[in-house]
This record gives sequence, structure tokens and C-alpha cells, in this order.
Amino acid sequence: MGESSPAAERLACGHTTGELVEHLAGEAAPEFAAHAAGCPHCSAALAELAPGWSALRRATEVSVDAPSGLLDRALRTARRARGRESGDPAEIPQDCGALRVAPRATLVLARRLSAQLIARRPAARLLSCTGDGREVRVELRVGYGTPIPELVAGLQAELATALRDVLGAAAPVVHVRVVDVAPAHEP
Amino acid sequence: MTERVDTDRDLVSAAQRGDGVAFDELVRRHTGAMYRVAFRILNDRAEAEDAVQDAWVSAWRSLPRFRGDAAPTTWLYRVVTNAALGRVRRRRPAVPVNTSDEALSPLLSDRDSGDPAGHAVRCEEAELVHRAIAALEPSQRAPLVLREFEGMSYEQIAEVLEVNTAALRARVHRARLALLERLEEMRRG
Repeated sequence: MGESSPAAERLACGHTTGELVEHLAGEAAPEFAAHAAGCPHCSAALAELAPGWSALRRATEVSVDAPSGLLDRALRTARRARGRESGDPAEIPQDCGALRVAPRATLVLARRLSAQLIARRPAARLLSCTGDGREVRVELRVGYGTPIPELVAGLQAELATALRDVLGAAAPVVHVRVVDVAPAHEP
Repeated sequence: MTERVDTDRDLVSAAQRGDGVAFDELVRRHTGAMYRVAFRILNDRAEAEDAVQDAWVSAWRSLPRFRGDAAPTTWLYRVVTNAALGRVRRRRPAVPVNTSDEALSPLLSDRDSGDPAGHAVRCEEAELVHRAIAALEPSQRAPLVLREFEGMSYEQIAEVLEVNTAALRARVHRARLALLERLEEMRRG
């Protein structure tokens, strides 16, 4: 592998610093632990290694939090990656040829239809409508106490039907997701 | 949409059938852990963010090849580790880590029996450990991070890195020795 490997120094007792590191990691054999406890050479070497090992253990307890906004950026990146693979325009056969609808147009259409359908449901609020020519994702906030399965199923069916009325077989798949719940009087 | 808690395997299967919402849910669940691993390998926040985004693009592209032999988390750890190590390899030769900074020395004193360290000091110490990890050979960083920070078993890490367990154990062993050597250098100033 060509890795540089630091020497595991052999101590006067015949054991190595490598074994001591395994001991610190809790991976050494119990017999070695018994030896190290009474061996002056191992004790001296352990005293040298312990501060670094303790620093490592403490570092594992310090959390590393993702920067704010990373999740949104990751979602956008993932959606772009999917979009690139589903960015072909939808084709609607016509008498004199085919009508092509770009993914962007499908999405704009889905956004307008979603807004209209959600406006009829005071318990829900549209947070986002994203997607491409193949699938549309609608995210909602609903008021506390709203029966979510009925609301989501109804909206999903109505939006899918509305898109099919306009785009026919080229209509995208519709996914509806509740991502937040607000107090009952302010969805 | 029915309300249910999908397992990662359910989500991967749905994503393989083209369900983007399922893939989004994987992104929501695992971006935090993926960032943590990338950051500890790279020790650079901006590069870690880029590595996570590269990883999700790779994950989407490699979805059709995921056969379910490994757990989805193992697969995602593999994807982000490869993305982070790819960035390490593409970097220009790094300036050697300055291990002679006298100001760093007190941060590595053994405080187990001393006063409780403040949060800021702990963070500084962790930063120092991350710097020491970043000075290791790239091939040593991932095994060390997955073992010591993510608490994974040797068998799991061997699966992530696609190496045999014996080779992995040797690599972790060398990485620990190299890390302690660097930390000792720092402690001595």
C-alpha cells in the first residue's frame, strides 16, 4: 500500500508500544493488561501515550454539526442530478405531429395547479412544489388536528387528475408530503 | 401518501424504482452523518460540504448497481468516504502541519484528573486532533475516523472500504500509532 508506518517501539520488557495502543483502545488481551499494570517499562510508555489518546477520546465527544443550509443544498444537488437524467421534454401526440412540453413548463403548471387546489383547503399551506418532467413533489404545512391521510390523498389525486387533463399520458407522478404542523388556526 | 416510517432499505428500493421523494428522505436522514465523516477526513468545512454533495450525486448514479448485499448506511459511508478521499487526492501537495506551535502544547495536556475543561477548550483540542488526522496518510484517515469517531466495528469498516478485516485492523493500528506520534510531537511543542 506504500503507507508510511510509524515504528512500534519495542520496550525493555519485550512488548511494544503497538500493544500499549491496543491496550488503550481496549483491544488487548486481558493477560497483557495484567502485565502492563505491573510493568515499569509499560507504565512509563503508557504515561507518554495517554495524553494523546485522551485527547483523541475527548475529540470524539465533540459533535461536528452540518452547517445550516447544507441539507437544502444537498437536496437541490440530488434533485438536479435526477433532473439531468429526466430532463427530456414530455411528448403529447397530436394529429399533425407531437407537442413537446419542457420539464420546466410541467413544473410551472404543477405549481399553479397545486396553489389552486390548496387554496380550497384552509387547513393546508403550500410550502414548495419542486420536481421535473417525471415527478412533482409538493410539500405542505397543515394545521394541528387536520386528518392528514385524507387531506394528502385527496390533494394527490386531484393534482394528478388535473395534470393528466392537461398533459395526458405525459403527466408526471405526484408526491405530496406534509413537512410541518402549525397551530390549528394558522397552517 | 400513507404515513409510515420507511426503513433505509425501503427508501433505497423505492429510489431504485425512480421515486425521488424516497431519495430525498435518504438525503434528509444521512446528510449530517456524511458531513461529519467528510469533515473529519478533510478537516475543511467547505471541502466537506462539497464532498457531501459529490457523494449524493454519486449515490444517485450508483443506485442501479446497489444490490442490497450491504446495509444502505454502509453503502452511503462508502460513497462519502470515496468522495472525501478523492478530494484529498486531488489537492495540491499539502503544506506540512506545523506541529511545533508552542500555543498548542497546553491543549494536549492530560486533563482527565484536572479541572473540567470548558467547551471552547474542548473544541480547540478537537480541532487539534482533526489537524493531526489531516496530516496522516489518506489511506489511514478513513479507517481511523470510522473506527474512533463513528464507532464502527472492524467488519463494518472493512465492508465500507472494501478491504479484508485483517488488512483493515493493521491499517487502523498504524493509523493510531501515527496519530499518537503526531499528537506527542504537538504536546512537546
